[in-house]
Amino acid sequence: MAPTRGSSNGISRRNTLTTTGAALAAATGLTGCLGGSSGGGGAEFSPIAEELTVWHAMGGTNGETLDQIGSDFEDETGKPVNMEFQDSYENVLTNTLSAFDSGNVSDMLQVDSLFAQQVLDTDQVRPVEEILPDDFDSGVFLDNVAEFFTVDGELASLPFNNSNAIMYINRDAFEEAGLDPDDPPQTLAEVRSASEQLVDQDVTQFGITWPNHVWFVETWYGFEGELMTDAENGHAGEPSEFRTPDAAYDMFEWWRGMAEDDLYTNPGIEAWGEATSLFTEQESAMLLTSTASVAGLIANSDGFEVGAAPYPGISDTRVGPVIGGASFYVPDGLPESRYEDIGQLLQYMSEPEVQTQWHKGSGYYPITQPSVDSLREEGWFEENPMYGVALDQLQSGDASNPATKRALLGPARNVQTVIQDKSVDILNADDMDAEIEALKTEVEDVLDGYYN
Amino acid sequence: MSTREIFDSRIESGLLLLPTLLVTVVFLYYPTALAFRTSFFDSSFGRAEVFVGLENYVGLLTSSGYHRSIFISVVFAAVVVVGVVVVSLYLTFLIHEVDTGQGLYLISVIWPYALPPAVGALVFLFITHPTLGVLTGPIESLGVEVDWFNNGSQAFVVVALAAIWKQIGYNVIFMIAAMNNVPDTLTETAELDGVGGLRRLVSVYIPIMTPTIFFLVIINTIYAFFGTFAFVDLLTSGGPSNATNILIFNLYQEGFSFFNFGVASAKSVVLFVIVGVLMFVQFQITDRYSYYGG
Repeated sequence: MAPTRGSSNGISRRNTLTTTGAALAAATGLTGCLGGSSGGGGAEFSPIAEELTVWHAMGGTNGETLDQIGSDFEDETGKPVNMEFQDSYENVLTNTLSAFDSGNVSDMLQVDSLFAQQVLDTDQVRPVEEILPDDFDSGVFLDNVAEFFTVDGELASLPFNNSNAIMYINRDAFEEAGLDPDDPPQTLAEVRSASEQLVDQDVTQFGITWPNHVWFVETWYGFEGELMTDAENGHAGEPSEFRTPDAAYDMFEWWRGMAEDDLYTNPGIEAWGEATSLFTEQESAMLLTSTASVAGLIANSDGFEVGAAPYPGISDTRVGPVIGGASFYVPDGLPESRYEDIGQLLQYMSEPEVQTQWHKGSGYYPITQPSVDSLREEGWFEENPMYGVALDQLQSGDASNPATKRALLGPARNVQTVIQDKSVDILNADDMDAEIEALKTEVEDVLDGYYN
Repeated sequence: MSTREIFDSRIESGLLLLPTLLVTVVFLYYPTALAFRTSFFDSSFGRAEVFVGLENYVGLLTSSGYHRSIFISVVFAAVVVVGVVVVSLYLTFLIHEVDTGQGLYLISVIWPYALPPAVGALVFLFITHPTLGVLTGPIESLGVEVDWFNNGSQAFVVVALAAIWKQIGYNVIFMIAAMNNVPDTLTETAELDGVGGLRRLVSVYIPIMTPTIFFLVIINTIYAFFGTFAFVDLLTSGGPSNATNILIFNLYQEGFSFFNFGVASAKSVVLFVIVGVLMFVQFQITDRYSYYGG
């Protein structure tokens, strides 16, 4: 009855061999991808293909619009362009890393503004200002946009798809709860009282929701005119301090209160889709998300009318939003003859007609003044007021205030993860202040690890 | 061990082995060596590598976040391994005992194993989503507030349940084979002696099935440490507050989100050592207690 020691070792030995093999395979499967990366500037690269190659992260309809722009460029100039979808910004970055290693790189890379510093730190990219044709006027970009993408006085990358965070409201729910949809909440306190009214009257289950993403915290800092880190959010040197001004405490306290009283629901970390469905399923009457969601939200809001409103501030102070979205970088070290073609494509992508086409096809805002002017002229914003809200919010922002420039940090993704994780701790902890202190310490540790 | 003379020349046998060896070396041993090397460097996205000696390992030794991740992984593996084996044994026994429709039951139990982990994770997400989930309402009517996007312990339970559910099929395939191999005479004897139901499972079948069960424990351990990545990635991304940040996800995040390849490589070496030691211990136990007949 009691199990005895095996007399036939054959079976156990065979098992031993197969399972050790499996363990080894499993253990190294992932580590294998973490090859060494060579760094430093001055490398010589060869292009991936004869045609210009653009690695981007635009899926769905946005990707189709981008393909269209590529083939229009080909029709106009006879130069073919491969728009290659890489699935996500992170993949564009990871693939670029391997490309730098292998020597075959794409001619243009779409990089999320979050990763900008990491790409600049490779010293393997050439500022687009040096590539754009001499007759190109880089003054066409809206101030707030140009500010972020200018490094050391030069346009480092070509801004393209940019957006900021706004608030969407369910107009029908507002009316049902006796709120005025034409006078949406403008501060966090007003969001709270509107949420109370909506939830108390059983109009919706929650007042507001938004994806747990660092961008929303950044936007609150921006509107309040508060820097997130020293060295002007990393634009004026290497940051080492994470700032937690009183306004940040106010913001977290409000957030906690909303969560405790079930006026807010947390859709999850970086859960953009979840947050949007909570809004379109009418579980939540307000939603904070990107201006780039306008088209999708209108299409998916069955049975109710969507409205767009400016982002609610922590207080009445409204300095301006931070910009999200991406820009195109160009690797350095490609054969010189290619840069002329690349410059031509870059220029084409910022032409007013292309920007207008992109704006209408995606919901990202037009980022050059001529494009804004022509849209205004044709009455686009009167017909589509929701698009106007985003642009007005951007243009009323104070571009000269460093707080409206999104943090430019080397370990941006790491800092982002810490802030998002710690936000949940802050919501749940008994001692909020201690958790905010812990957030500060953790972010500063990450900064220290990268820069020192 | 006896050598069997199938091939006339060593060269012939060597040539036939070559493709396998080549693949193993290129995709297994070379990357392993490279990861080991990278773990001694400060290597990040596109920046020059700097040799730092043991700094990455020292960093891990002193990082409370990493210690927590090790702890969570070990607890997670224990829960998943025990959960999978116990549930699978019970299900196998039920299927073994049933007279009609055995095939149908088998298929329905094995079915989750045929799903890709990512699909399995998404199915679980839609079933248990705190606000939109199908099962959320019924569970909440029992007085539990489903809130695993914020509540770490709940998130842990959800990920563990998903991981267990996914692995049951694989275990049942092996267990049903082992259980069917138990001689009918033993079953009859047990029944004559009045040993019925679960008692028969525990006292008769399980001891005879030990080699299979130990094999499954080892496979399940590897699965719990490495194969559950998709569930963590898609359900919780390691959150909330790192409550589900098991080692394999932690290392992926370090490497492919934060681009700290040096630290990530050190983490992969540590993970490899932890699982290696666990395997070793399990084999010792297996050899001592398994019943191989005779």
